[in-house]
Amino acid sequence: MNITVFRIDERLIHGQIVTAWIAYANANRIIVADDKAANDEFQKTLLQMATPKTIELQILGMDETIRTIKEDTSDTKTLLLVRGPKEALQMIEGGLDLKEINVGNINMKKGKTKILGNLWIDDEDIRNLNKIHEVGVALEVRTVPNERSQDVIKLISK
Amino acid sequence: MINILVVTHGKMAEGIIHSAKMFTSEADNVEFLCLMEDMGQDELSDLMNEKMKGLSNEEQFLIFCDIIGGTPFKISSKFSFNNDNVSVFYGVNLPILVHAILTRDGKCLSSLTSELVEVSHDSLGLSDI
Repeated sequence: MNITVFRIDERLIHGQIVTAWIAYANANRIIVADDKAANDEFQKTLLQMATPKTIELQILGMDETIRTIKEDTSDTKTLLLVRGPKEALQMIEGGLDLKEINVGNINMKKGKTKILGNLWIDDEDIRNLNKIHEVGVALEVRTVPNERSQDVIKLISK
Repeated sequence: MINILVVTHGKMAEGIIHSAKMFTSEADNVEFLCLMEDMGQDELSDLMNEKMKGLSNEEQFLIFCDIIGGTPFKISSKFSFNNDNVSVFYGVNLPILVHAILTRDGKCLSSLTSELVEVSHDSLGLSDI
């Protein structure tokens, strides 16, 4: 499997993914790696409705995602989506060889600090993002592909 | 009367209602919600809850949103999943919204929505000129 875009996005599949990221990733497949979504029939139906008909969608639990990606030796271009930094770190620690993460939306919640309009983080997020950075994975923020890319670590260490 | 709520990415919802009123004049029970860049799904969901509060079981709600799969669509769909009196129409444009506001009187939700699907086919195209 060829992961062409690995993205952190709390909204999982939504407008920006459908209109811009699928084309940018040249993806034939989307994998949503999320334990919550994988166990929720309503969420699954919604995500399937949100996905264009020409794109294959897999909604898998975290462990299952790691297993599936490791076992798949095909060249299928895939957009991999996780909900937050914690889940992204889980993918990396699970042994997936991914070099770059696109940080999309980490939204406002109580106790989070605003970095950018679409990027709100707390201490736990900072810890997880730093751990990802320490193992040599690049982290960039861009909500849509033609936006200017910014370095997440630089932004959060200010 | 069928209540109308328009929910979109950014200020389109506010703008399209403003534009629609040039055709319909002031209309009752037509509201909007805008999903702004710094809002999360939960926040939009809370705002929608607020709009739906006090809605009796007999009242019908038609939610218009912009694109299928978008966050406004997903949040709206959750409401329609939990409530038979709520329908979601995606791909809203001005002719469709105006048609809904002007013709909703005395109609049930399902007949209005199937009519809107018909109207939508005629609302997009290339000029012959």
